[in-house]
Amino acid sequence: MKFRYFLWLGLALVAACSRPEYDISDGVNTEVTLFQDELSVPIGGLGPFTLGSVFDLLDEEGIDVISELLKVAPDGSVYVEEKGNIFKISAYELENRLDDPAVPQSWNAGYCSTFIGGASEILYFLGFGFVDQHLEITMENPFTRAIPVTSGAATYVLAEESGEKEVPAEGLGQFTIPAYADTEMLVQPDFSGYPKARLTGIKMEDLTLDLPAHPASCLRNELGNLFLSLDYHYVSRVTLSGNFEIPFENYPIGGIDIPIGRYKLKKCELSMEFESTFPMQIEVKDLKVLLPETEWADPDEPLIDENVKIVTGFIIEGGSEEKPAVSAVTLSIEALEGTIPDIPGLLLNLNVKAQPGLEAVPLSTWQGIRVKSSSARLTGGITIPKE
Amino acid sequence: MKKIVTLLATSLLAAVSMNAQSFQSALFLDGYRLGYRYNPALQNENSFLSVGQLESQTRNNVGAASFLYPRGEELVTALHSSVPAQEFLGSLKDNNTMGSSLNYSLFSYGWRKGASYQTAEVGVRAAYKTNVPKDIFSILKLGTGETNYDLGGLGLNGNLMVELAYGYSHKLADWVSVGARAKLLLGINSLDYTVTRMDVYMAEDKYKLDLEARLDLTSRLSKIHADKEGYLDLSKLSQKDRWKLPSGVGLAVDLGAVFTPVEGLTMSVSLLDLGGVFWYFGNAGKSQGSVTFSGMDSLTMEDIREGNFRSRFDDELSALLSSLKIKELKSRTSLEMIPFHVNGGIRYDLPFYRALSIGATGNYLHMSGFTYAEGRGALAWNPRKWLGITLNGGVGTYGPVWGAALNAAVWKFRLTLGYCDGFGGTIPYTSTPLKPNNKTVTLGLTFDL
Repeated sequence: MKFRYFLWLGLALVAACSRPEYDISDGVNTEVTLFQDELSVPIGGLGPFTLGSVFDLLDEEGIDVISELLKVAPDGSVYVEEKGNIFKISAYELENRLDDPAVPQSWNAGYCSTFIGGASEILYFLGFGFVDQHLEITMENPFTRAIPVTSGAATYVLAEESGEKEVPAEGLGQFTIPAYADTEMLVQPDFSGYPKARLTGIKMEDLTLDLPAHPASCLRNELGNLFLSLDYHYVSRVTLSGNFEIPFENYPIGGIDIPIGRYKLKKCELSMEFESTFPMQIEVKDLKVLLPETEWADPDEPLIDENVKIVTGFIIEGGSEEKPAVSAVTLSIEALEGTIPDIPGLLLNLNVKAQPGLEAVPLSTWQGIRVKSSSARLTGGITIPKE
Repeated sequence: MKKIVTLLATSLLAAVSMNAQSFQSALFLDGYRLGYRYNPALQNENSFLSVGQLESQTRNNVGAASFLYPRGEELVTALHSSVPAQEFLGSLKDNNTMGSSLNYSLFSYGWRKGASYQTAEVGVRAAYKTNVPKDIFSILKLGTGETNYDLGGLGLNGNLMVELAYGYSHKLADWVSVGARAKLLLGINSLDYTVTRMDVYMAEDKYKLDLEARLDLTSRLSKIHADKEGYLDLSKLSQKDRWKLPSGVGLAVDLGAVFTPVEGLTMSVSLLDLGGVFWYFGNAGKSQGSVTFSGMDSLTMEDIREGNFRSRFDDELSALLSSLKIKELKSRTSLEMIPFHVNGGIRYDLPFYRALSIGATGNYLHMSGFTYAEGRGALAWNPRKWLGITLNGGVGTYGPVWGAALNAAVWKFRLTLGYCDGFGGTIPYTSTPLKPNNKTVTLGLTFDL
């Protein structure tokens, strides 16, 4: 009888041990949320994203407008280059224009000018500037005789913010084109006295040539060069002018498809330290997350996900290769309610302009921006969903 | 990540089902024949033959309830967002330890000769211990709120041995008996992986890991060969060069004394498993080094354009993990103590009803880096020679404990059942404890000669 009491007591103790609420036979919800308070992650550096790589990218994308306007020297410097003639005439045409080719005479070619500024003019209006302008005027002479030349007035046309002005072109008033001249240097004017001016033209009034009798008979080689000419070769390194500014307003970037919704992030803060040798200031004014395109009423009117707040308003300062600019910026993405969803696209508001206060820095393909260091801070945990 | 979490929790809980030993009820069950294992001075009235006894003991300072949480109709893990960090981490210790031992007596024989009682036994024993520092769970649950973490002490070790024992007890006087058992231990396999130092620095600018760990593994089953760089490669397991002899040889003794100063009062004191094993580790290695991760510094625009981001990240991760690789060392020998017990007990048979006894026991277990102590009060009832029952309750290092044991005989066969546990319950259909506990299961069958 007493044994029975012990038996019942033993069974009761064993039964009391089992806790049905911990029954794992029906499975366990394996969804976990890690790092619930905060997780700091070093991401590291990135880049650099150089101007050269941007050119390469544009070329690959078939956008060759800029690459056609701009040229790159072996040392990476970016420049514009233009070549042309101030005056050019063939020996036979010259002879035809003379009233009496049988006698030596002075022939007035009249007013000669040239416009320099195909590429540079376009770049100027895009906000680029020009430094280290270099002009060479050369001569070609197909005759066996030297040709003396005079000009009533020779000027260079310079464009400044205040307007155009003309300055005397020394060396172009009176000179002689040597016999057989083949790309013979005439003048290399110095424009360093006009640092803010852009050469846009060359003018020569009353251009007069002292010609021998029957100039066409003086040709050195009838199968060679037949032209008497004054040629120019203009080269200038390119900078960003103070007017350079490209705003990107409400610029949608679609097709990103960042699938982070499943991780149920609440807040993500990215800290980045940029180092820029690019003389350009980038102001990220605003960044918004777009709703999926399927939710847009109008395909041209992107809808914004108001639940996700991206705090931006930072500026990446521009610098130069000698003095790189360092900017520490923070970008935070936060879900106002719930968690951050998948990000199908972004709406960008940024402004790119020449770095204020920076001297005109010639552009180079080596200039660029790199993320010197970066890290992320996640708040609220990372959820790994059930498998 | 989820696999790592599961592995950590499982490593603490998996061996619970292995259960494991020191049967303190032996002092209170008159018909129990293997009392010499509790105290080598205890003698039986009869000679006996044992055809098997299992003693399994598990001691863990963290239970399954620290890792599983009922939430409404479902059960979630500790890392579920609905489980507050304070609740989870508050239930853990700085070092979360699970120790287990299993003694299985395959055969034993005891015989009386005058005032002495002798025993001979062949058995196997296994011991297992794992330790996971709390900081690991703290990082996983909370993240990197702190910057410095000490994960040293992370480890796993265990061994399996064959035991040949001879015991001798002598009654010096009516009131005192002394006894000793000598044990020859033949080591079969042993594993010891211990992270002696793991300092982790986690901040926004960098992660840094300073690691020092060692692996000692016997090679009776397989030899782990090294790769070209000298690191142990688990994929290169082979029978070639394996150690075919016992991997360890050791000796241990049990010492005990039993006093009966007055009729009905019994006092017992014993020291069990004093000794060690000299192991030969055919697979040995160590990890040592410092590694810093400051992010992917050399990621280029081309990497992003060509979609190499993932592969670059994998490369960085591989470089980081390579510091954890175990460099092969020449085989190593090591003398290691085996876990030992100190037992004390007192029993008093009530003078007005001798079949009813009261008493108390105390036990102290010491393993490398792990100790456990408890005290219990006991009530026993031995109404007949063929029946004995005892109940006990007390407090151990991990909280309250209770136990019950039965010894019953049919003809000359004696069955012994014993169960000691903590409070807090178990997971249904398993024996996995929900709370930190101490569990002992004893099951044996003897035959009186």
